[in-house]
Amino acid sequence: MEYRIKESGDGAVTVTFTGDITFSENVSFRQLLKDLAEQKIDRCVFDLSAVNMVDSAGLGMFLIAKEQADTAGWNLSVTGAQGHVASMLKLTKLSDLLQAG
Amino acid sequence: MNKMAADIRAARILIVDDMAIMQRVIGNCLSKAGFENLSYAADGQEALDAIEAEMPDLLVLDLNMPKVSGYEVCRILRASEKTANLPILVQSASETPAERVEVFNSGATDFVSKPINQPELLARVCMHLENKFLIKDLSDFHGRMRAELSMAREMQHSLLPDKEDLEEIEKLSGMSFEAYYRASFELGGDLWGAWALDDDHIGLYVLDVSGHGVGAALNTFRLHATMSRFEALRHNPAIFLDSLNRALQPTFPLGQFATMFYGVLNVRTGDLQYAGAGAPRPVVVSKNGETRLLDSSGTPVGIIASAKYENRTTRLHSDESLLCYSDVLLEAPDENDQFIGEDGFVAEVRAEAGAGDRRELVKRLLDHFYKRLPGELPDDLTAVALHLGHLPDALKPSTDTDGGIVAMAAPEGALAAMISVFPQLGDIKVHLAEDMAGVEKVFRTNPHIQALLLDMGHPTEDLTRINNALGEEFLAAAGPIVLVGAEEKATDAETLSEIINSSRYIDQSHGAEALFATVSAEIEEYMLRRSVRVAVETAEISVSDMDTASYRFRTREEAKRIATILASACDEPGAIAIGLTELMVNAVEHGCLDIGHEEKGDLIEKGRLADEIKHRRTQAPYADRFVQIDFRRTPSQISFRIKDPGKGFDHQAFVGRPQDGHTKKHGRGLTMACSCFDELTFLGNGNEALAIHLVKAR
Repeated sequence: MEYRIKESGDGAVTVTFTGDITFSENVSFRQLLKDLAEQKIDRCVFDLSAVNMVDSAGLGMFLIAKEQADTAGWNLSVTGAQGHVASMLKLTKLSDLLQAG
Repeated sequence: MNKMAADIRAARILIVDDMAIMQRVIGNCLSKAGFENLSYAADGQEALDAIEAEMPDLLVLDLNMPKVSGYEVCRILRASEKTANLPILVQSASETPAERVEVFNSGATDFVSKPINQPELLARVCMHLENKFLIKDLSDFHGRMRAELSMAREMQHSLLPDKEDLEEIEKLSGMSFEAYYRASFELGGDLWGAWALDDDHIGLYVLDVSGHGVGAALNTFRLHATMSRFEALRHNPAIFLDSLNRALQPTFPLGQFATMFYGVLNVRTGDLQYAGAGAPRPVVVSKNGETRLLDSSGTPVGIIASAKYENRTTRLHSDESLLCYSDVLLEAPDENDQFIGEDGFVAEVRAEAGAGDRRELVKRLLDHFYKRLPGELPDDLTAVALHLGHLPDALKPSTDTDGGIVAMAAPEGALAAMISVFPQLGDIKVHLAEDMAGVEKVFRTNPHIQALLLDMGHPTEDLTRINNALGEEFLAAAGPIVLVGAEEKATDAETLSEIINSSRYIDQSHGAEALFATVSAEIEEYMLRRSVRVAVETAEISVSDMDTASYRFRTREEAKRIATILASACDEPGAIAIGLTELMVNAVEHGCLDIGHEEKGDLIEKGRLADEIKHRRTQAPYADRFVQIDFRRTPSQISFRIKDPGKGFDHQAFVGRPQDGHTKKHGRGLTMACSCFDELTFLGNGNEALAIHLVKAR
């Protein structure tokens, strides 16, 4: 998994992921959360259009991000999920929780 | 570090040198530094014997000695497992690069040159002893952790159902389990289990706690313990998951959760009620290797306390298998390093299902899996198949997952009042809905609803659109719709009936008992139609390659059986069987026994239909009457000619116009029957029906 953070000004941030989001990405995902915590954010979008697969640990990481967002008072949503990623979000109903669009 | 320092000073050091003076120099140097546990050997053989007698912590070894040389001592010690890691400090006078290489090649740990530089010797001895004790500590720790992890893995294994319990369930149900479970090299969070709920029902769950390691394993134990707390709720999958989630959510750490599937199976009928919490979708494999997926979507357990779980139902048929599995099977890469995903996995299931004994499906799937992905697993692997045998009541209408009836009734209305008496009249489960949205919701959670009651007091606009709110299964076999209203609503009811094709209208002044009797009779007919569909779909009987056949029959049961056999010749046997049954039952009741639509309604309301049928059958002229059905198959079409001895009815309105409103007067079933065939004509004076099914070009 790799990610790129892009600020589009006015407090909006897009994080674009590529590759697989699985248990082994634990450390880099936490680093991402730390990076996000240091920025002033209103809303953040996780762009998953280039992600092939996500496992249950990956979904767990989204939940941690969601909690961080709720605590810090910014809005988190995911977008672009397709194939396996989209069906995982739908199967676990996390698409509702993460306002998947 | 104090303990380490003491360990080092107490270390036993063996000094090997053939020169007494060298022994003394080295001994003095070490004892001055606080080492007291020193011993000596004068040549290689003596050294090996001393080591054999008592293992030192470190060896200071001379190279050039009589009998056995220092090189030889090194090689012998390294060759033995016991001494393979003993630190050996070699001292030597000559120090060419080639010699050094040979020293290390023979197995020495380190090298000090002669003449001995005392501080250097001391420093090297201390360093190697320190290393030795550190490594020992680490490997002790590692060994202990490994022992504990393997103990934890064993404990996790002990949560799995034991063999005796499973055999008990297999005996009870006539089904067999094929289960495979393997924990990953770390601890993981998979678990599955099954239990017998009563003589007819078994429960089966599969779960996967997210993440790996000790945390995930501990949460698996927690989940298992919590499940036993809710034993009383195991009959109802959604409520069971609801309770688990509410109990566990506060204790689950952020980002951790459990995906789960739980189902309750009626082992006699094959009815399965289940609820999902985001587990991989279970696969039902039919006996000819076709697959369908169960919807196990739902919020995983442990994330939000307010998550709601939904009961879903399906019916398993004789000789089908239900396969549950953990996601590692989907996430594993294939030969091209692409992960196979659900589609790939289901395709594999289909391929393996046809490749041998159905009861070894899991074995074949995993053989394939391990061939692709040898070695340690990245995650726990669970695969459980429940292989059904012959279901004794496969053809019986469902009892437990069939959700009873829905009544759309205003709270203060006449229908609501009549319904409130139902519990005293018999065993019909009633779902109340206030409006169309309510009806739709009931059908979503109870797809096997058996009848719909409508209060004529509702806005006409809602009543006319009611078919939009009904379930697929209900519509497919013409589920009964009964209208209830005041006398002055009768005309409205007739108009409405033409629009929504309702089954009957009951005047509310006839009372709750009349309504109850009508509903019971309508349900019975509907269940007959539905069981016909099941019989055809499971193809328990078939027409095989006959091209013409004639049957005579007198009862509804015979009608059903023959309809099932004949329909198997058609492209859509389910629908044809229902249509045929309807026409044939109609011929029995109307044609043979002269019971018209109005009279039947009247008899039903009084609960006298069955008695009346019995009675007429013993009376002339009914006793000798029968219906005949002729089946004829050509390459292009299949025709059914149903002829009864009755006086018929005004059939002109039917001819060539099966969708005509007139049919609606004759009930929902008959209208539905018309739509099942490509052509339906009534001949003679209406006592003969010719139904045609066009064979699709192949």
